[in-house]
Amino acid sequence: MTVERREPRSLRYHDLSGSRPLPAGRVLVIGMLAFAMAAVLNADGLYELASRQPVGWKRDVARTAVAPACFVGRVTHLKDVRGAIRGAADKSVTDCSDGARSGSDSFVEPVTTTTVGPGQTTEPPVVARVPSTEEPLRMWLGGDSMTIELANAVEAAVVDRPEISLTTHAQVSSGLSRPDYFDWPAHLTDEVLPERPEVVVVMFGANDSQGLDIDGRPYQPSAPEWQAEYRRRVGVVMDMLRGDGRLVIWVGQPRMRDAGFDQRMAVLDGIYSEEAASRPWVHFLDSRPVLSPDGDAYQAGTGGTSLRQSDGIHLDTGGAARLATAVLDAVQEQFVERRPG
Amino acid sequence: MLFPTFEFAAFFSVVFVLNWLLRPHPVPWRLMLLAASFVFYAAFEPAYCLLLAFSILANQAFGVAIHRAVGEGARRGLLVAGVVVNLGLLGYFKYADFFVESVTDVLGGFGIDTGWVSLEIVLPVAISFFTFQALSYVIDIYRRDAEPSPLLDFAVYLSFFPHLVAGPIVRARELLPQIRERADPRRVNSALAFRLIMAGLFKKVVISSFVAAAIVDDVFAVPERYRSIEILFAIYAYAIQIYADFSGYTDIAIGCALLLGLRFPQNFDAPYAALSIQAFWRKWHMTLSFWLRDYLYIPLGGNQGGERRRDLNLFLTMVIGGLWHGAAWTFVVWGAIHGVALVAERRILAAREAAGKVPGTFSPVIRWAVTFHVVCLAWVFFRADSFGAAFTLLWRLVAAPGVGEAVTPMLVFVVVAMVAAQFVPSEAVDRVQVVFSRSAPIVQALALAIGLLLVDALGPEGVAPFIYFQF
Repeated sequence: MTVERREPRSLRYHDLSGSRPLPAGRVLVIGMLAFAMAAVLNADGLYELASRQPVGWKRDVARTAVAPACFVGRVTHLKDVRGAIRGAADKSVTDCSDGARSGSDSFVEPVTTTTVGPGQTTEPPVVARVPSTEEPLRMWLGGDSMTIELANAVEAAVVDRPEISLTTHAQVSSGLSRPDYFDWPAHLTDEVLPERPEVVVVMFGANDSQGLDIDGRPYQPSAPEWQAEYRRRVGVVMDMLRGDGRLVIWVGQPRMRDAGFDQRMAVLDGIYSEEAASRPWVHFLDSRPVLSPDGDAYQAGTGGTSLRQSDGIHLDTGGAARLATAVLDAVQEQFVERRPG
Repeated sequence: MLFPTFEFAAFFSVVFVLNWLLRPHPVPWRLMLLAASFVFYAAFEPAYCLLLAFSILANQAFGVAIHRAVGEGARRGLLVAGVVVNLGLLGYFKYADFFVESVTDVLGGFGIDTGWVSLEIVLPVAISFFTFQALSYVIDIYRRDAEPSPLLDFAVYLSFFPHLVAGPIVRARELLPQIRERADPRRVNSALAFRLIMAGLFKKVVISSFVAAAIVDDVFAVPERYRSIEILFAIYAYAIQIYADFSGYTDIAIGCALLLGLRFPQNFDAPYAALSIQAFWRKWHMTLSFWLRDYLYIPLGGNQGGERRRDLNLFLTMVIGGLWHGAAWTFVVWGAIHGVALVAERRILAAREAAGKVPGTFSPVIRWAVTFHVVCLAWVFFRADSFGAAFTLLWRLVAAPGVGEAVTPMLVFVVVAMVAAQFVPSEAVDRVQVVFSRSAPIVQALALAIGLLLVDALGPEGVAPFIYFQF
């Protein structure tokens, strides 16, 4: 019964091979020094990370903690090394010296719109046409990570349809709550609208149920102030997207597995639906019946097809394919055939 | 709690200090590691801790009972019960829905409606790994290769956070003796630990994320949009991605354990430098390969019996190994491709040897190229969402000639550099490590800080989940 215990061969690669072992205390000192130097070198990256924390005390504490590293990095110019590397790699650069923005400033009423306000235009809100291979429909689709699979599915669906020219942009962790992380109004204005898309499909909301910074005060999604501000932002984006007969398809949030999260998404869906109703160029696409085909409840799959990913939030390929079909049907009905629903 | 995050860095810093302060006190030290591991696991989902606790208690009970049982029949009965409980748990969480869907699909093809609906079971993170480790403990006791350890030691071994979520699969006989013996706090192999952690971070955060975003995700999502050269590079890039992602994770895990004075077995050894499929499996996910060899291939009969029986054992081992990776038929095909390749390789080499053929000058190059491309072919099924997607990809590889725009010079450089890096002799890297270890602490800290700068500056925003977490 006695078991012979020898050093397993699998552990031999840990042999020091000439390396000098160190006392644990010195390892700790090296680690702490490395973290301190890395904090200065990566001050801008740390600031980005701190800014991504939920609005409120966590973000304030994180930004305060980063401030000394930013100061040292700025004075010594050590933090410029990271900027240079990211610039060479064609990546965006944030400067922690720039200071914080509240986010509300991004959502200002558009001034360069073809209309003066909802329902007061002299031209039809959506100018329909039948696209062709020679003159394909310019379609743009974007939003948060919910649109990653959706974009893939729409791309797959139009791969043999040269009459549709599709551009997509899925920005992970983004939404309308935190333009300090990703500024959708600025992106739409600077990158999307200049390409004059005829159909814009957006899907926001999954990351939006978090604190908002309104006039310097944090508000949570249950607060009337939060909902009023979020409604205003939705309206601003809808108005911003109007112009040149463009159709906007605003995709609502599907049922979520977590009951609390599902309830919060239902509130957002209500806002999208109501704001779209007063704007004839916006079509609200309710994704709930599409992704819960067998009833009004969260559904992971149907008929052997997986609709949602294991997190109970994101779309799986099967769900994305269903939603892509619904989007393209809406394009056909609302734009090509122009049958407002 | 993912490794490349500030949460983990803060968590690990605290554990590191407590580890060495409490090391002279065996029970408090064990309790601290156990608590830290459960905190780490609870960060994914607190309810999973109940599952881990059940696995610890049940397997310890089976181990002790087998050890104390007198008759061979009783010992065997207890072993069977232990295996059934472990595989039953894994089967329920991992394969129940797969079974329901497969049966529904097959019978549906004959017009029979089972009426079965998906159970929508969420796979708990880490269950595949700790189940295999627990099985090795129970089976080793049955084989009299090991004796039961005290419950606290076994709990620390099974739950130890660096290997908990995605390996390496550490055997009881590898880690339990180290838990019993007190590591010397004056001799921490920090140079190797830092090398592994920095290499792991770079592979995971920079390389894996880059190739995924540059080509892999897009091509595998909509292969219809891409030309053959783009598809070829997407397959190569996925081979690099999964290697960088998985070996990166286990490098960090091994490095963290080493800083705590505990050694894990090696898990990767330049697998894409392999000149045969057999050699590939001795270099890729080595702890799983050896686990499958010891606890599946050998019990099936191993090399005993005739040639056909041996080939069947090998094939079955690879197919089951494929299914371990995921509850989908694409994983079964992945395992089957490796199984067929191993059998074919064995037979071809035996036939050549019998015919007295001598390897030519270019034989290593040809063997490397064949091995690498067979591995890449299998990866297509591992990555694809369905057979349809996999076959579309492979069809366009030959039927859609053209270069396309997705293959950029940077992508080609990264793919070639990562493959070439597999051929760099480890002695060369060891020499750099020796120089590092003999440098002044401030120089070592500066080198680490520059490494962290490169990881942060070249990495994406946010951290993608590790591919192997889903297994």
